[in-house]
Amino acid sequence: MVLISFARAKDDHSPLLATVLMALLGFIVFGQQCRASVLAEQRVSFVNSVSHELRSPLTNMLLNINLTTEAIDDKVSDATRRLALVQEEARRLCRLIDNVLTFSRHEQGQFRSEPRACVPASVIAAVVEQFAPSFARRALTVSRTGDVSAACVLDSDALAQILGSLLSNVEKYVPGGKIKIVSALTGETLIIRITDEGPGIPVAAAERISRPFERLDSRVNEGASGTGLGLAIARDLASSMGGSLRHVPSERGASFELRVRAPLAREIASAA
Amino acid sequence: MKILFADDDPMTLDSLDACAAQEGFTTLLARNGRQALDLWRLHLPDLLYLNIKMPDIDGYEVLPTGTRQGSGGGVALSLGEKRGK
Repeated sequence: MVLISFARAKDDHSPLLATVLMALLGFIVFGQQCRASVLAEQRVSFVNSVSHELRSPLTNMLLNINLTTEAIDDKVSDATRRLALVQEEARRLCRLIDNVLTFSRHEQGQFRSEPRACVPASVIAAVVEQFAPSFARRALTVSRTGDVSAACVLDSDALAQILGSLLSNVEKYVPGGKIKIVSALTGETLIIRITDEGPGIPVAAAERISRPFERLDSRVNEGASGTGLGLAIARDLASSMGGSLRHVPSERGASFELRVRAPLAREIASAA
Repeated sequence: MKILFADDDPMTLDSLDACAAQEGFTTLLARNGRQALDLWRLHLPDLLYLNIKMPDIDGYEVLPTGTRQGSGGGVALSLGEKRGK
């Protein structure tokens, strides 16, 4: 109404101008409402997903602690196995919480990569080791090739988080088969390609699922769980490490190639 | 008493199996909805524990499909994981 009154005072053609302005304003408000609605929906979905992701390992931990308590006196080996499962689930919780915190820091612009000397082969081996019991239960085998045993300067925690997200996806979506991890150091770049034999990712969906909260199948009752953050965080981390993470189209299974900046530690030391 | 557990998480399945077996229940374990339907039809369990989120046939689909195929067996139902519905 203010716009209309103002326009009429200025010009005889003002009704048309006022109508256009009102329509424009309505369009902008409608757009904002739609965006707010989508954000609210994503927020609820995210809270649901994270709650579910937290509850699953917690349930397993509680069940296995109970079973450990029952077995600890006369079935020591069983109790030991149960405690190992509790440890495995605690690690799963840590990965989830790390992902949520990293996402939060990225959103607030507070994330900083912290490069330090490390051996990429050791980082890869440690992450694979974390998944070993779970992969064994799912009939997934891992083969690692490539020599990345030279000490490099990179953010080893971020590298472990990226690899953890990629392997966690394999754990969730691939019912069995081989996982190939091929790595190489080329110049100042560390390249790691992870390929599985699962259902794969359609090329058309590859870009979409690397965005926050996006998953290949976002129906409420789809087959596997997840927050929809893993790949988005992995891509952001790779970017913060001066590199990239991309989906590589493949005939069978899913394949991701990670490239991050990784100058050799001895070259940095000699330059200093 | 026979309990059918259906869950795609092997660790959850193993833990539930151990807990139920400890209490003297007979357990049937299914890694997905299809296996759950097969075990339901063959063994007529007294209780079903179905995770909602499972590959192929999810927990929501198992119950009507099992009922349609006439599995019966005096089944009680427990849904393991509720989300959104």
